Amino acid sequence: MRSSRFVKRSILVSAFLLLIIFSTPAPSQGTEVTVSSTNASINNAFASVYQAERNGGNVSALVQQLNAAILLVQKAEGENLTSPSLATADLESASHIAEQVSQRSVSVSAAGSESRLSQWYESIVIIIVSVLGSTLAYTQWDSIYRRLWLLVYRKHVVIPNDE
Amino acid sequence: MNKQLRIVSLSLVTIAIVIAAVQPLLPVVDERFSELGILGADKMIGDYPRIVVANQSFLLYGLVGNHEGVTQNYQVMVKLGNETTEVSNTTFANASLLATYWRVLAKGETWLFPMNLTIANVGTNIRLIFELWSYNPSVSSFVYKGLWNQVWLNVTLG
Repeated sequence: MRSSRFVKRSILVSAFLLLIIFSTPAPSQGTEVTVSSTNASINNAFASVYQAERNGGNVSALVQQLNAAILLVQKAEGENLTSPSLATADLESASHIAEQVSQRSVSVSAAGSESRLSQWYESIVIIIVSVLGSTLAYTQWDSIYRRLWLLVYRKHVVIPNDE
Repeated sequence: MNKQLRIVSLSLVTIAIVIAAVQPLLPVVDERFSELGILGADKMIGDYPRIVVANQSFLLYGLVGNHEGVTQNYQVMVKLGNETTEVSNTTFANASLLATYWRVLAKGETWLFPMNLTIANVGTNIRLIFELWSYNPSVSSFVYKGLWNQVWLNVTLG
């Protein structure tokens, strides 16, 4: 009887202690999570930039922005021990930049796809025109040649040699 | 004009125009690679320190080049190994991480960066191992590029 009460009490105390341990955050956990989440945001933004470039977009400005975000993260890591508030501000700026890059890469990607599509159309039109032109030149060559000759020599006056 | 000559010349002109029109749309097939180099304090190959003092920083330069034909997200990891640490073109070193350098490089871009490194522990035949990693969007993580370099050091008390 007494032992079962002891077991129950022990279970209750253990559960209470576990609850306290897991509900109290570790002192450095907050900043660490922010650094890793910022890194994840930058890497996600890079994935968007990568896709935008594969679609034919010009991503040079986005690459510069990503590097600015990376520098802010590195700066924050240095400041973390001396000035946590500055570190947090830098990490927030870096996350904001990464978010902007992700958003802009959508429009860059769309512009790239559009440009690539228009290049395709241009090439197809050139091919069709050149094939049609060649066919026309082949079938109508005699007529075209005579017309061209007439165009060039229509003002030419034939002067007899004996004059 | 001779009929055969006309056919040949027209065909040649047509083929030339078609090839020229298709050219910008064809993917460029060339060798794609990344480069990793370690330079000494004077930015020269071979100008590496042999002996360094524990807890005192020393300068090296890293050089990374992106010739992959597309923007790359690189990390250079500096690890502290010893004579028995295994590293190869397929396996990265299982050693303690000393520093990480991170940058996104546009295609064709090269990145030269200073590395101020400090080693805390005294020892002989210590290997500074430099590995190049790049972010692979399809697996959402950095993967080892198979490129590495090393500098052998003796770390003294000074």
